Amino acid sequence: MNHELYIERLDQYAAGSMTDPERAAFEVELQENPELREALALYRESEAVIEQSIENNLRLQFQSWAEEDRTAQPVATGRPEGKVISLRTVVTRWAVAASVLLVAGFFFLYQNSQSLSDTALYAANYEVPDGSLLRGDTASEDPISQGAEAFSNKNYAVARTFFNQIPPTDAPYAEAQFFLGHTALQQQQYHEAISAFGNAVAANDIRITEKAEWNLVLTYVAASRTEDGAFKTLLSALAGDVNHSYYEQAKALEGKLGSFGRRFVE
Amino acid sequence: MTFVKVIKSHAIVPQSKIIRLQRVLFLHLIHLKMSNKEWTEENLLNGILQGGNERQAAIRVLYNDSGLKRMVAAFVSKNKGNEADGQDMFHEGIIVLDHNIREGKFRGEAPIKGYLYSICRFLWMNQMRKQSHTDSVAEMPVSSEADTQSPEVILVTEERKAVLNSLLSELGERCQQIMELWKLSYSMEEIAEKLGFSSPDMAKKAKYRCHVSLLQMIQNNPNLQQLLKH
Repeated sequence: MNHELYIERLDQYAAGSMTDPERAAFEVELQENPELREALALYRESEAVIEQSIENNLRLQFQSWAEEDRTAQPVATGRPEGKVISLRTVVTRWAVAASVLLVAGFFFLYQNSQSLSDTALYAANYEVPDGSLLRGDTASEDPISQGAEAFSNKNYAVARTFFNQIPPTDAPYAEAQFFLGHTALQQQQYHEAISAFGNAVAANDIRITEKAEWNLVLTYVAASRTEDGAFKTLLSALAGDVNHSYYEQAKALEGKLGSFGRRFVE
Repeated sequence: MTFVKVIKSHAIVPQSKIIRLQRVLFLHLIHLKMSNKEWTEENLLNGILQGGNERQAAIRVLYNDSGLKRMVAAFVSKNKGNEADGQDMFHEGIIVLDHNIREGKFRGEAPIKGYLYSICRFLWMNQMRKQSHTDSVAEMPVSSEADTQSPEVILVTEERKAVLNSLLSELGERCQQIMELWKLSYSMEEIAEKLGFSSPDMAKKAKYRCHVSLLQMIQNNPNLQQLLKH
């Protein structure tokens, strides 16, 4: 069945946004067209799937609110049994501790600034893709295996030509764009890598999307474009989505980019 | 226990307590902001129908209704349940209420909280019936409090839920988010902003692709289709 034929009208029908004559005509067509009836039945099932997602998230929301409420409960405690010491002693101790911390802090920042540079963050997170994304039982069965092989042999010019010739209408388009992104990244062609990973995300292939999103983030880092709005939005979306495959990495990267030590990075 | 001692008029305040107090103050400010709006029956209903942040706030108001929560817990505990069961039923009841309002099955003909209470009762009685493997709820002890009306509750079997969840996994997280926001009446502008699309048009295209993928997944699996029909 060609869902594209019906989906827009089914959206309008289900949302009740058709005019009276449009709805009447649609219902007449429903009587006469068995394929449209089947399309509507499938549409109703798809709504049930989405409702399940809404329910799941509401349950998670309740857990989160319960947790908030628990942590917000002030604990009823008696007066703590602490020794009362003089203000002068406290100030002296704090001054000594602050001096030590200041020296140690500068040393720590110097050491760590090296590991917080864009280059270091990119290198620490980037992984060269392997053949596990390829379709078919063996890598050679995949329609893009030729390009992937050229990529793994570091024959980037051949790989780019190969991936670029796969049109958006072909099934392996998402994979091709994903590998094209990696190829461009290896050649430090960041603009092209961003475009290719963006295309891979938009192609919405469930095997590729989240990987492409994460590599898109890393490309911005490699290109030292961490102040771009698009980068910030994407990283924040990944770091805010506990179900994303790269949630942990995104969270860690967000933390490092926002850390105090980053200010000391050239 | 470790305390930071702050000497001020010989007062000693534990740091952990300061942090807790700050959190309490912060949450109270949020609640105060939320409570600036008077949550009448009509506002609760419209809030859920409006979707987005308004729906979230309306659901939070219902969630925070301690009186209603206690009533549900009391009913459940009178009927062989414990405190945790009562809380679960209250949450499940809100989920059904949210769904029924969005689907137009509840239009505010009765008090919303009475309706929620009757849903919770129904869900618990149904659970008890399943546990006791009896066909009738008549054997169950029932609270004397009368329902204001019979709730329309669609009970989903565990098997069907598993199928729905497997389809969701197959659909992928990104598509789930897009489809969920769309179903909750977020505009394409809001979806684009929340999910980082470059424009509402891109968000619309993504929604379209996700929906077609989902329809194909259902269509390509006759066994799933069969199960979903029951």
